[in-house]
Amino acid sequence: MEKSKLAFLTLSLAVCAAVSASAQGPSYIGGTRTAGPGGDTVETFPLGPSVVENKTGTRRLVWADGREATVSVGRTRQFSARVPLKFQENGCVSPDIKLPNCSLRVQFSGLTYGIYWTKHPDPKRINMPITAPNGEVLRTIPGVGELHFLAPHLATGAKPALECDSWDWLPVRTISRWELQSMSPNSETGQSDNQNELSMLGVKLAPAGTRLEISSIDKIVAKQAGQIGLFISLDDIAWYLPHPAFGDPSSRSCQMTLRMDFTAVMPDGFSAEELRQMAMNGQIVEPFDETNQIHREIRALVTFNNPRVPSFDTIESFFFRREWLDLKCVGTSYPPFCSQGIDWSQTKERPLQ
Amino acid sequence: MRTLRLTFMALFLVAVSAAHARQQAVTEGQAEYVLDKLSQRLRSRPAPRADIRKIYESADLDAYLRERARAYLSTPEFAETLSYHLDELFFIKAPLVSDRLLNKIEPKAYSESEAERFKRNNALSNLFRSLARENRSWDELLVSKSYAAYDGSLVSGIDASDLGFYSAVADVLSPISGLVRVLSDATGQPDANGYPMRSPTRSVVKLDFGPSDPRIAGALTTSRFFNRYTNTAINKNRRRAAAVLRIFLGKDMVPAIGTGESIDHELNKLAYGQGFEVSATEVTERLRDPHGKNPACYKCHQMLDPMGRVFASSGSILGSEPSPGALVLPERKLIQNVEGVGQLADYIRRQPEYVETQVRALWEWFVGKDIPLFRPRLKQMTELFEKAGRRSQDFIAALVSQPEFRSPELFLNKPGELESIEARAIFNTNCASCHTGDAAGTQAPAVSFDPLRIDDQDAAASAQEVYRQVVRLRRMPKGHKLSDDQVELVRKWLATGAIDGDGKMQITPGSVQ
Repeated sequence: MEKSKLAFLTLSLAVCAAVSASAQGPSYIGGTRTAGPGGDTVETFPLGPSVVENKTGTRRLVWADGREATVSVGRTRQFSARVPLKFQENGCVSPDIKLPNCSLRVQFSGLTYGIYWTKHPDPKRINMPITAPNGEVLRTIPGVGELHFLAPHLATGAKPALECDSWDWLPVRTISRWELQSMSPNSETGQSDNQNELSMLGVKLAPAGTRLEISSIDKIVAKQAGQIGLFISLDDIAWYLPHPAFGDPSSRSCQMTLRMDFTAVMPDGFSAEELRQMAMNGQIVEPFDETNQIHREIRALVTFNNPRVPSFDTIESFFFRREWLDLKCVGTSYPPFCSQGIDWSQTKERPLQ
Repeated sequence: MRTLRLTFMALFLVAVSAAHARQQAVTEGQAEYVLDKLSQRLRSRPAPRADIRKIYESADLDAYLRERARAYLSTPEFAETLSYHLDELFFIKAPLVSDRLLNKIEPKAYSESEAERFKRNNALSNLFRSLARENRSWDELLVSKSYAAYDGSLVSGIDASDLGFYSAVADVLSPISGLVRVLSDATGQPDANGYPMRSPTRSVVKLDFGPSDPRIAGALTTSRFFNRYTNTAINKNRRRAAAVLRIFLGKDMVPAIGTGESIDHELNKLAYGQGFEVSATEVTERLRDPHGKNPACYKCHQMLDPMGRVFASSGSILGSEPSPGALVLPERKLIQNVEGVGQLADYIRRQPEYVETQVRALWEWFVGKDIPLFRPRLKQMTELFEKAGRRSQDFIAALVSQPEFRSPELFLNKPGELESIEARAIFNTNCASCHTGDAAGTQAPAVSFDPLRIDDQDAAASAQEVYRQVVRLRRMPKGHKLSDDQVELVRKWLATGAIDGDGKMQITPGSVQ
């Protein structure tokens, strides 16, 4: 046992020394890049596997003991639904104006991914996902209905849109803040309380026929890990609209509160329960393989534990740059990229599976 | 026996008050008592044996005690002790490391989790400690524009970082932006508490905002304050305002809606009473008026609503724009409009209620909750607070040199003084919200504790009625029962003369039955 530890230590030191000798400086994501055989670029990290990128941009994770893995991504079946919105409280629009019937039309689609073994001494492990030290499968879903804002290059179909009988009541085209709240544990008291969980700042609306399409979002911040769903909420939704469009002239913004009426979802063929199940389970119905996607996934995962990348208790999506290379886990995380902490050292040291 | 006690007390007081004038006015035995108390209160642990030994070598015990007090105030344990008190005041979780430090568990004896690191190293706790360590003005709790923020990693179920909280107001994503500088990072070196930075990949980042930045207000604009006092669409930041009013102005707000229940259910109950279920929209409409017109609601909401507005531009994180609001103190007819939370904090620290509330808190922590601080003495202490420049160490050093600290506890108490403090708390919590005299629908007469009045009845008649309703018949308060201990406390307070906030009896002792 001691011997194997010593051997491992020696090997690690040797790798570190080699890396240090041939270092070309730290790369963007913190590893050390060197030229590999066949024109591959090998990015080595102090702990864990190297990331090998070939000329076509495909990347794979390579362990010193010969194990290899790559990312496989799936996408859920896409479908759209119309969810009626009920105004709960109106602090913005004059009581003389009748609020219209409104609903949110949103396309549901999710991603699911895993890092799968491609080379492994145990043949049963091939094509099986890597498991984290805590035993969880490194696979998750990014939620539903928000690919347009989180992964635009993967999104298809129309963007989410507001549908209302009329638009006279809403002369602005930006919702300053769109907030979702839910009952969740208070990190200071341990007791559950109703709280704002996710904020979308600068939600821009653009006309699309009779609808107002959600064209862009400046920033997304969430409090808790595992926050799913930018648009779907079982609890109150608050809109903060900029003053002086409406409301109290002494205030710089006004607030409207809404709820989604899931009892009356116009599901294009799905019930509310089915929607929920699909959202939660992230069923893979379309195998999905995109080279760029794989390399971006790997980079995202590697980036997670990078000391140069701040991670916050809120998330800020860099997806808007349409470059997942810039993905940073800013905050408590947004699945799938931040919530799965990978301890590379343990991945390397644990016995082969 | 009682005469003997009184004689001893008088002698002791004379001795203590003359301590500055005469060497050895404090005896070794008394000095040992005071030294241990100093250590317990300031360091949360007994006095070191070496310090006790020096008592018997010291030529000037009073000077020695003052020197030791200053020395204890500069220890890391004092920073943790003060931080602990502030955690309690803010109702936030104290970091485990404080327990460990105060209980002398060596840092190497445990592995600190990321969550613990955050609890120890976050912007709010670091502000608390810096007040203690750097002898900063107590006002910095409200008006500080600097943070040592923790750049932590994700911990499931806990917000173990607070940089993101400032991401809308500071470009913390670019750590070399001029605004942000790294205090201690991937060095693995011990931090200011002497604990190793366990994770070499995380840093404490210094954030400095402009001295007049209206968006920033010390403890009020930290992730832990926001996370503790959460916001909802209905709440509209009133929970945060209520915390500010309680912590800094001594005004307890009684929430009408519980936090653990279904909001719909609570609103229904509030608007229609038990047993009615109506739509949320109807409830909202029904509640709209009472908030503005019903005096029972308005009593608190006239303070909460305008103050809550200063947080309106913030959602999960601190908003990039200041949000206007107002500080409203109805008793003094003060309505002060403010441009943002920063200006609100600045106005709060200028209020006498702020000074009195902070002095009371510090008195309770370091002199003792059981030592009454009646108004004349409170006035002296607020003067001392100002004289000390409101600086934490300086004022606490002054507090622990007061005779109330140095004398054995309870010797200074007259019968009924302690009950007066407790009875006031019972009144504030259980009576004050309904007995305003104008609470619509309650038909509750106006009751005041100090002076003791029910409507326009004098103190004696009012005391008799309080005794009848609370002690004998136990009819009050409505809706819930006081415990037997609480009722007994009210009885004792009345029986001993219903001592008021000046420490004076309002009625003849034994006159109520």
